[in-house]
Amino acid sequence: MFVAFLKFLMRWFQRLVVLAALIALGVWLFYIGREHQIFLDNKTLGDFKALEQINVRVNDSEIAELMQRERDVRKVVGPEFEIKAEVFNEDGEIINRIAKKIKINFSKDIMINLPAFAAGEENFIVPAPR
Amino acid sequence: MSDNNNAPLLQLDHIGKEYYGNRVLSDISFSIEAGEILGLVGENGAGKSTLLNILFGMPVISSTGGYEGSLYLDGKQVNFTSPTQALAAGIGMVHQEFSLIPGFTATENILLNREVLNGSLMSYVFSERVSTLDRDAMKARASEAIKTLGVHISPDMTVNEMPVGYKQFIEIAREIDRKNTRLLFLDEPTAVLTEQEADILLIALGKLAKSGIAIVFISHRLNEVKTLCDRILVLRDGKLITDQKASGLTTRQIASLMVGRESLRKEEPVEIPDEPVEEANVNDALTTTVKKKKKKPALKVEHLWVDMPGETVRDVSFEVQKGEIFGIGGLAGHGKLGIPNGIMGLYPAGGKVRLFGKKLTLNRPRAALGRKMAFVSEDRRGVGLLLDEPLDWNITFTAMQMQGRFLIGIPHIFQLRNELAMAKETRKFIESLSIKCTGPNQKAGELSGGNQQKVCLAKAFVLRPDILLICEPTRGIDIGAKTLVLDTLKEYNKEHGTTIIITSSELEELRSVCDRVAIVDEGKIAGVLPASSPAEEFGMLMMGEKLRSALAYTE
Amino acid sequence: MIRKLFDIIANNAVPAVFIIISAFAIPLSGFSASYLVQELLTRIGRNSFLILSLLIPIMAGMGLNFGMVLGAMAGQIGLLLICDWGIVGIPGMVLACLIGTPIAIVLGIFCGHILNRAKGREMVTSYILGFFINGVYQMVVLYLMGWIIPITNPNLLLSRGYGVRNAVSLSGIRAVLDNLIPTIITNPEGAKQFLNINGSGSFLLLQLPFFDGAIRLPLATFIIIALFCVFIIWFRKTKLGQDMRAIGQSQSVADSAGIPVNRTRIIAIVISTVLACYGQIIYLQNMGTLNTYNSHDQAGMFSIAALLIGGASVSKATITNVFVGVVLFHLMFIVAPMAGKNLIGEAQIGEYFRVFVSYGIIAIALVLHAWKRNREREAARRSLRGNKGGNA
Repeated sequence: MFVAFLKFLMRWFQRLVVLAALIALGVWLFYIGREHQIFLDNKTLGDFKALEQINVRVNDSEIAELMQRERDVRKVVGPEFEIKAEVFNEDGEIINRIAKKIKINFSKDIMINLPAFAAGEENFIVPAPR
Repeated sequence: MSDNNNAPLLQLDHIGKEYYGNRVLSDISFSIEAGEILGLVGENGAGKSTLLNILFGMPVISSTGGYEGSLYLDGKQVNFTSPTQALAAGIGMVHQEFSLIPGFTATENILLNREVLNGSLMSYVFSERVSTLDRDAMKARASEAIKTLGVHISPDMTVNEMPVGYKQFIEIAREIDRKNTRLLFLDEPTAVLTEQEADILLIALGKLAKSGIAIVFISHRLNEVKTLCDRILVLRDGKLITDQKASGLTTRQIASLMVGRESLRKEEPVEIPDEPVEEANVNDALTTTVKKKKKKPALKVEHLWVDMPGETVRDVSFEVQKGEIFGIGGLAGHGKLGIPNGIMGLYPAGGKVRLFGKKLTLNRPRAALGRKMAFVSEDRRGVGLLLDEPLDWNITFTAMQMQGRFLIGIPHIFQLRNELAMAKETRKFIESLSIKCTGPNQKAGELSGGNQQKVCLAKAFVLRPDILLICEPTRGIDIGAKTLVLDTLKEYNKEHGTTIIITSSELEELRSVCDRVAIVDEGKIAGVLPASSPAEEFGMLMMGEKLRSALAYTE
Repeated sequence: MIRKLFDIIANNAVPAVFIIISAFAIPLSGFSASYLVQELLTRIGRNSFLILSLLIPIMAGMGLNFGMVLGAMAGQIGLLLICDWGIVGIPGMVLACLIGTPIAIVLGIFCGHILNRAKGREMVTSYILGFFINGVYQMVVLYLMGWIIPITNPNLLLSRGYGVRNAVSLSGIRAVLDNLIPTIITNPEGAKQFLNINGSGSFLLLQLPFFDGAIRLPLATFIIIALFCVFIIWFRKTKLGQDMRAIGQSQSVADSAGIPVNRTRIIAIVISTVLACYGQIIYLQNMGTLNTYNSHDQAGMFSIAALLIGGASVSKATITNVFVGVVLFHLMFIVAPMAGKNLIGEAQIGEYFRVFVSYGIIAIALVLHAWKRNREREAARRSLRGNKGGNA
């Protein structure tokens, strides 16, 4: 009788393990499969003035050329992405190059304030519109 | 738990059963030892099926109030409430209807739900049922079981391609494959077998018994019972009449014990119109009479077969004289109900039937009714009556349809029911048959069983038929009404000269009313005897014994 | 002998008729061989999974599972959720399957219980049950989503703020499974052209010398379908499969042998519903658009019609029936409109054929099934008599 009960327990324990594995799988898929919108904002934020021009490339996407006060959006799949930016001054010279890997985790869309980002600020992520 | 070595394998102690006041079994006590073969004999209604149901734990027993008395297996009391329990305790049952999956092979059927499995990881997590079958191991086990029976059947043969005899063996093989089967019940196992197959089966059963399995063998074939069994039990009307060694009984004695009871028959000289029954000519009394008088029989049946589920008729031939009251009896399921149903066209039938010399179209109830035959079905609620209609409807409907009576107006163009005539006729029968009702307008479904039967009779009488076929005329009717119905039939026959054919499972009833009685055994006529013949002769015909004194029309 | 010939013709009459109709219609339509092959391959990949999900209930004697539409609805709920969350690609599809599975299991158990109370009338009951659950689904999707069930993507919602709109773009998972292992079949000439246009990339190139044109083959989808076929073959060999086969032939015998009939029947329906859920997701990823309120409607009808056209019956269906059926059924789909237009000037005839044939073939199959069952019962009664006598 005790043996039978133990078997019963084992079986349900195994089923719970399988169930937990499936849920974990679901969460993982959510994590790696989510498509995020990355908003690129070239606007003044506090002390960081809007840049003349900044060219941004997210992963392998098209280069976004943003003048002052412009905004653009790129789509990204997965929890992290690489962003490469080139900052131009009025004469069209590159004054700064930045490359960074950014993690999004479970948020859906984020907006990057480019002036803050270019200046090397830590908190350059601002809430996305909508 | 010490085994009581002196205790018999199975012991029944004062087993009884009643269904809502209707007593079916009383005070049955007997025991079986391992390796013994017990023969269980009895008419239908004697209680055999109920006894089996109790021993096998069928739910119908526990749901209707259980049973009285006690069962002991190996000296320990047991009480089965489901067949699974009985199976687990080592009792196996081989039923009359095959319990086989037609599209499966012999192996798959023998090991049904006990297949050999290949263990696997998945089976651990989900359940055992996701393991695959180990077909080689299964085949080996099935072959062994088949070998134990001493027959040669390929384990890979599909069941629906097997001859009927083989199917029976597969059924038994399935029971003995269970490792712990110690007691095997066989309910009419030879009913569908040919002679040779039956012989092989009996030898196989003998072998099984020698290996220690106790067998209870239920059969109506007396010669088999005598050949195979060590002891014979006779059941009659729910009581155990006898429990004796087989060697100490003759077949005639067994038959007599089976059917013998107080005769209802009044001791009157037999009056068969136009047919003097002489002792010397009893062998071919009828043929002689026919030769003498050259009278056309009212009904002549030749090689009739009927596909009525449960009452299959294989090959039946007999003759009924005009004005005779002819009885058809026999054990249930052997075809006696199939004969009238088939003649009236209610079930697929074939063969030749002649009414007063003219051929009758089979498979057409309208044709039979049109030839002035009337039929009272054994299924009065299903076939005999329109339960939601009033009595006058029920009684006059067939006459209205077939003979155009109880109608006013212009025939075939415009007619209305003649309600007054319908009511008048109904009242006539309410009086003459003492039908208890509130009047001709009461719905038929509201009457009691016995009164419903009287309504069915009235319906038949209204037709003023030449030949009246009645099935189970007094089933479910109380004693007083029984006599009334039987007397009415006799009177009707005397007054109008109607030929009446009564089919009944109560032998005494037939012997008290009929002039001659035919006994049906396994779909054929075993013989026809004058009603005054001793009851045990009828019993022997039912048990498949051939009687020289009986008139057999089979080849 | 004659009887055997008659039996062969009777059993294969339906596919034969379709082959003959197609043989006429194909030349009439004017389509090229490579176009037809391309279309057929796409449709086989799209529909086979759904049709395969019908096999197990037939094995268990429950007839044609019109209740597979319940699985389709479960899959669609999964798809709506991943659209809202923005999960794309293969992870999106797998997550939709993962979400749809418990819903399909619950619906399958519900359906199974109801069918157990309607033994002998499973098909009609599952058909009506499909309508009922359709109502529940529409209530969930039209009222609860966006209200109690949080939907944040405005592209999904109706303008009133709650309820899902009818046309939902599945751009995130469009053709993900099909293009997982992109395969092209073409001849060497076409191969050069293809490489010129598309440059290099990772795909499989199969070169057949005589082939005319270039064909995309959804290899990954076909592999999944092949795996499913292997699953079905394995399932038949398990004890569960054996129990289902027993129940399918005789419930009473199976029951008296101790097989848990009701439970096993429910399992059969649950498996079928879950597989229909996956099948619908595969179907929709190929289509690319989800019609929230319509996509599942004909999922059952067309799959069942295709299976029957492949030669299956209510009591017996094999994997061969599935593939023969999907080819013949969809061949007619593709070819009939053009053939009708070229013949009579009415392209509408294609639609007419599609609907008429689907319903018609199901009606014929049901009638044949009932007729065959009657004959079997008669034969069983006759066999009780042994072989003497004749027939009525």
